[in-house]
Amino acid sequence: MFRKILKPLASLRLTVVIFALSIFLVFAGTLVQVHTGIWTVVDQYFRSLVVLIELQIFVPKELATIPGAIWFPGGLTLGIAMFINLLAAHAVRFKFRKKRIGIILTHLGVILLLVGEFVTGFAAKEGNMTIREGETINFIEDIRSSEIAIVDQSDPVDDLVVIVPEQLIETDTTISNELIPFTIQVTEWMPNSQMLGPMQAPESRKGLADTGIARELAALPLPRANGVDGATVDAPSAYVTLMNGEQRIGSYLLSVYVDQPQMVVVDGRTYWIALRFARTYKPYSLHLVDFKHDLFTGTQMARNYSSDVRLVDEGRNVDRDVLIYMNHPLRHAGETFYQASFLRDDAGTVLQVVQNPGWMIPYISCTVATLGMLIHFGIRLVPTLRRRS
Amino acid sequence: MNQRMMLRLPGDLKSSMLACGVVMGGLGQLAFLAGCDRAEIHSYRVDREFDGSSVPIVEQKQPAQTESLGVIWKVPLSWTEVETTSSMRITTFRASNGQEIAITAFPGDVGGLIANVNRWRGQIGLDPVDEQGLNEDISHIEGVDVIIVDLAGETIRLIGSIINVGDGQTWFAKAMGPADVVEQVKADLIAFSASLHIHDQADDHDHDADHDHGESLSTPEPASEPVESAASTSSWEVPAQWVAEENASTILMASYLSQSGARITLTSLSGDGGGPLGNINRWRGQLGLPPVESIDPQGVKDLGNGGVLVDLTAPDDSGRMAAGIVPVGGQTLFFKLTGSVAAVEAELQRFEAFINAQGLGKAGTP
Repeated sequence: MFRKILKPLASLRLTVVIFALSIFLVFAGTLVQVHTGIWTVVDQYFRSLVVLIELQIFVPKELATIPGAIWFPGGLTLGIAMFINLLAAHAVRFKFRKKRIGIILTHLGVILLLVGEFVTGFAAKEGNMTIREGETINFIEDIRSSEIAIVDQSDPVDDLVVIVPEQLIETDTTISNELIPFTIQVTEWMPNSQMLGPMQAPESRKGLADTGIARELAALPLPRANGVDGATVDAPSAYVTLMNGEQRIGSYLLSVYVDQPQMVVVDGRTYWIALRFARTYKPYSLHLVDFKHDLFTGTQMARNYSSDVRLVDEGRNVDRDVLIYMNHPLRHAGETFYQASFLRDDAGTVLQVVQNPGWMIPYISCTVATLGMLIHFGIRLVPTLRRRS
Repeated sequence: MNQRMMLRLPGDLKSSMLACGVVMGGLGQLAFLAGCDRAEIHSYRVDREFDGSSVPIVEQKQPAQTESLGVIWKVPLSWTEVETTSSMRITTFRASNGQEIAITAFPGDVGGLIANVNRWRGQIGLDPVDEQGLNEDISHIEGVDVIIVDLAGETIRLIGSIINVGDGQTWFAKAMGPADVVEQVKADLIAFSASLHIHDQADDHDHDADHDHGESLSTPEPASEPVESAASTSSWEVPAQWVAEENASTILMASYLSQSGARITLTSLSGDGGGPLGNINRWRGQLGLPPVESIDPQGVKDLGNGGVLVDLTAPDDSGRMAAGIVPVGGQTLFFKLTGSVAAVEAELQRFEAFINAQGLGKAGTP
């Protein structure tokens, strides 16, 4: 009975169909990256159940306009299908013989690889830690998503921070919540933008904000950064109007370009509002003692970048100095800190922080699959050589 | 009829796909439910990170690079690439003051230094020089193989650079025209020339760093070579200058409140930020003063390195504004001190010191 159910799932023809669909998906997913950011493509094409593929991506716009789109199974669907197909095939046809050990190992490697991507897709997190020399930072910024932070400093010691995630700013035109002392009306949301001065902005963009320190500036929407034309990070901005009940507080320009939180006064109390890259606070902190940027003598070519940091994690009883440099990341609390970038005038460092519980799986799976192939071909090679001699 | 037109699939494949579909449907629902945790508004407490009257200054910019023949350069903010009319040219830029800068490259040393300098001298009606005379025309940029040639004819000036990036070619950047116009692009031309280098791995990481790390099926650990991020500028010694026109989105901002009640703000804008005259007239308008047609040198204080300070008071003494405009590379820093007449007076000295520390120290380079 069990076999009867599994048999259709184990079909080799199904394998071929899944492979064909996967090849097409990868092809379409590659083409669409000409116009769309890589992470949008990863989410829409490869980590989704279904994807709507626009036909226009196959023909340059300059040549012809092709309307329409087709629904297609997403990477998640195809990955799961391939996983089931592979497992079912082994369940149905599994016969342990010495000769087959290579094949079994190779398939085990492929299964592990699929599992690894599931783990990475669902559990991996990455972000940046930007630290100036002498500064101590205990949060990670996700440069692929932003948030509105509303800070209440009425407590003498610490700040109460209320976070409105980007997903809400994107979809909700009016944001109100018992945690926020005012209502936020999103007039314009720009996932990527550029900032212009008062004398640079076109007339149509002037006066959209009337309150806050950025009121004289103007933000212009830009297409999302796709990594092809130089820009790699989206710099979001938003025009919002804040309301205290029926009373209008003012229109603000919020942007990641504006580093300073802007003041909002509600019923005599002061709050601060800012649009910033999404933060995750950590139970540990990194203090940048020194950032070094060595050049090859007489050139502008970088020889080495290194960050001398002090890691303090009271919960884990850790207080130590660490040198992070190329190919020598810091591993702590399940996270890996890579030397990724630096600030202007070498004033600070940018560390990339990656948390991926499945980071070892691709290594293991590739080793297992390689071993499997070596054994399989070895088993066949030996008798062939014997026969020849 | 319809039956025949349908795509005919083998029976076992049909049942395979059906079975797979059923299993997938179930798994899909699970995945959908798992992904349903819609982001919500939440709150937390953190140690005090900023003080309303003292906020760190952080730069945000997106350096842009252009590449041709495997050589990369950074384009000054005030330059725009224009259509190249000559087939000899790699590309042509036009600076914001209208001056054209031509970029060419030829194999080998193109006859050597003297020949090239004399060729340029000839173009603006100067006699050729020998090796001794050559030294007066040229200067070197430290750290890179770039020679700057500055020639002044009777009416025309030519500033050019001869660049050896090590790709077997000699690269030239040349600006020729009225002396004062050419002078304005000299700093940018020098910085541009120094930015030329052969495309290397670090340049690739510039594009890849924020995207290609460690999340795909087959990608191993993230590469850890340093790269420049959007929050940083280039390793070029005169930063802030090299941003492509279309990405000209640079602003750094800080705002302070003084005890006397005056507000100090600092904004950095790309290019000239609209120019001193336009901005001064805007500020005059804010204080109820009529616009002026030109900047009266008597009314502004020269801060050196191209920086100026204006001090404006409203006709009815209802408010006062001191503002510093300091060009730094391809950006302009705007410092503003606003408040009552007395509050501004009380802070003026500290304000000037602030401009000196934040702006002028970096101005005027290279």
